[in-house]
Amino acid sequence: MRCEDARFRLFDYVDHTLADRERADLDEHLDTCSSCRSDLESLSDLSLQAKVWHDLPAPRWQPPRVGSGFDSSGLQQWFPSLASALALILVAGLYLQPTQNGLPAPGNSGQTMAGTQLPGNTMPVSARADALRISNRLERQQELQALVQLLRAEMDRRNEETEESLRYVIAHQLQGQQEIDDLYQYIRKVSLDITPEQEQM
Amino acid sequence: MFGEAPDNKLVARALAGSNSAWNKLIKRYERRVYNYALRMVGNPDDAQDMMQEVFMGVHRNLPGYRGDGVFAAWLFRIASFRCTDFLRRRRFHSSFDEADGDRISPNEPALEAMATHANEQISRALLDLPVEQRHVVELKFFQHFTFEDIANQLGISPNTAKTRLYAALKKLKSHEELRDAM
Repeated sequence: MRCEDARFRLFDYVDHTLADRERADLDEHLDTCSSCRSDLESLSDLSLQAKVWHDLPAPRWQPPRVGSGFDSSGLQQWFPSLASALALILVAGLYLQPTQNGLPAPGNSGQTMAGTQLPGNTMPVSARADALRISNRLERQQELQALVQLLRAEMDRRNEETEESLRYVIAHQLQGQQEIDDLYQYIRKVSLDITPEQEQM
Repeated sequence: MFGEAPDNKLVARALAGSNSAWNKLIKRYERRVYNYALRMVGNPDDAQDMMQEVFMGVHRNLPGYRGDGVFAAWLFRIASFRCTDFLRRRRFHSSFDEADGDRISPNEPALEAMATHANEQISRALLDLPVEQRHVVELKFFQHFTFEDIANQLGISPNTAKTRLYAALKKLKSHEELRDAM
């Protein structure tokens, strides 16, 4: 048996889940391989060390109640994500709304965050715990600011692309118009060169 | 004669609206989940947060529990998912401060709150492992799940679980603090 094969069997060896034949093969390998023997010792040590762990009592906490409902429709599962998405859209909208001098109004968003982030006492415990735990207000505000900057940069880039495309189309249209004008002038000149006799023919 | 009700019965009663059954289920597992969280995240405050997240997850997903497997394995599947998510979020927030985002710097005062010297040394050694390896060590040696269960809980193959455990073993082998724990 090679060491590579022996390694994976060591775990089953310790768990006593190896078949007799496999166990005998592994015993044979262990007799001759000090490296695998050392791994087996470490494995047994680790198993013993895990038993030394002294369990601490769980702190007092307020678990969710059955009364708050086991919702099998799945709506409850999606509610936190949905609420986060709506909050994100709302804040992003406020940031993107320009003021009179064209700059965003951070004061507005600050008020909105203050008004919406802290859940009221009417919310279920689970929603409050989720909201408080996920991140603090400042971190979320910074993330949103970064997101808004990203969105703005993307919008600027797209605006530039659109402008460039329009400029290209207009330039080609003007060029086409010029060619049509030239052609018209040429035909007119040619037609004027035709004599009345030729025209009667 | 009056043995404890099996998990599946408590789940069925909780789903039928029994708060008492639901609380019994939580009482039965909260200590185990809290200590799991403690070893995974390394400090009591985060462990409490994570324990709450796990039970919120259980509460949300309980209607989907089919009862065809061991409840503990199902619960720890949620716990593993929540833990990975929790550590990912924490890594995201501290990614600018830490050179190696995959590991958690042991927080000295938090480790001192581990009650015993052995707990402190074990936590220190576990926190030195990458999260993926720590997960497998935790589920194998502290929760005593089979490799099939671990693979199922972490969404990996049993062989990958064994490889991670072996790599962890190599690292822990040289950990002197772990020897001190015994």
